[in-house]
Amino acid sequence: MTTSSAKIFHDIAMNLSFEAKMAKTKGDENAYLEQMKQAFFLEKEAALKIHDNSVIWKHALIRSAGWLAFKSGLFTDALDLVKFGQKGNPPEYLKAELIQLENEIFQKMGKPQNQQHQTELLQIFGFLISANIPKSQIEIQKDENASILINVPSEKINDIVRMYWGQAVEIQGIQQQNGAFEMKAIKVAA
Amino acid sequence: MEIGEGADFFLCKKTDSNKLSFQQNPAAKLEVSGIWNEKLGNTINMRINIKKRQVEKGTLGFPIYIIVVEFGGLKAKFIKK
Repeated sequence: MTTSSAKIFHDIAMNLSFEAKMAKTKGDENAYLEQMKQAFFLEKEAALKIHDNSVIWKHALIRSAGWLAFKSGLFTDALDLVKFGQKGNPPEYLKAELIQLENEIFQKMGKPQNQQHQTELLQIFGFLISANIPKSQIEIQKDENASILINVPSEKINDIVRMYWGQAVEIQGIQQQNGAFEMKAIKVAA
Repeated sequence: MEIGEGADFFLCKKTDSNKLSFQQNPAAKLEVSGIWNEKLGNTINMRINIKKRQVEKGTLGFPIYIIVVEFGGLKAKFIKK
């Protein structure tokens, strides 16, 4: 089920990428960026639908989503995907391609290529059990004994509470140096 | 799949249903490149060599095919790496 839906997401993403390139050849840079961005989100979804790290498609989709993010100008997202992809122990060939993408990102972001990353994309599963709207924080119950506070964008907290209250959710985010967890994406857990 | 310059392709064997999914393992990878017209400094063979260097990054466990097309002369070269 998940691999077939991943294929559907991937096919749409590739169509959008093709349309984006057509728009660029016609000089419509805005349409290029918008369609590339849409392609990125779908390709990332496709990658996340394949849970088995031994499947080569997962690594290829992560790399592909990373390039789409890069081409959309979403360099932080692209870098997050590179780190996420490297953690999944990809085949040597795709690992080398992730490094190539990482170098391209650093060139755009103006960082030295050997700089240590301070951020890596993490996933958290649990139930949204409470929220502190003034502080833009939500609390996720991971299991019977543990919960975690997550910082979310202030403009999104109302929507998050409305949509996910009491539900099992999957959150992607970054652990900051001070230990705080910053949400990048949230969805209902599959 | 999206890559730095354009896209590359993973090829699968044909199934009975003719429907492809990520449940199948890839049987090969296809790298495609094109030039408008061959000229000094930009020939099909040079482009093939660039692609060959790009794919020398380790093995994938299946063959890699490279095809370079010259659109002006409607000529193509196809190799297996």
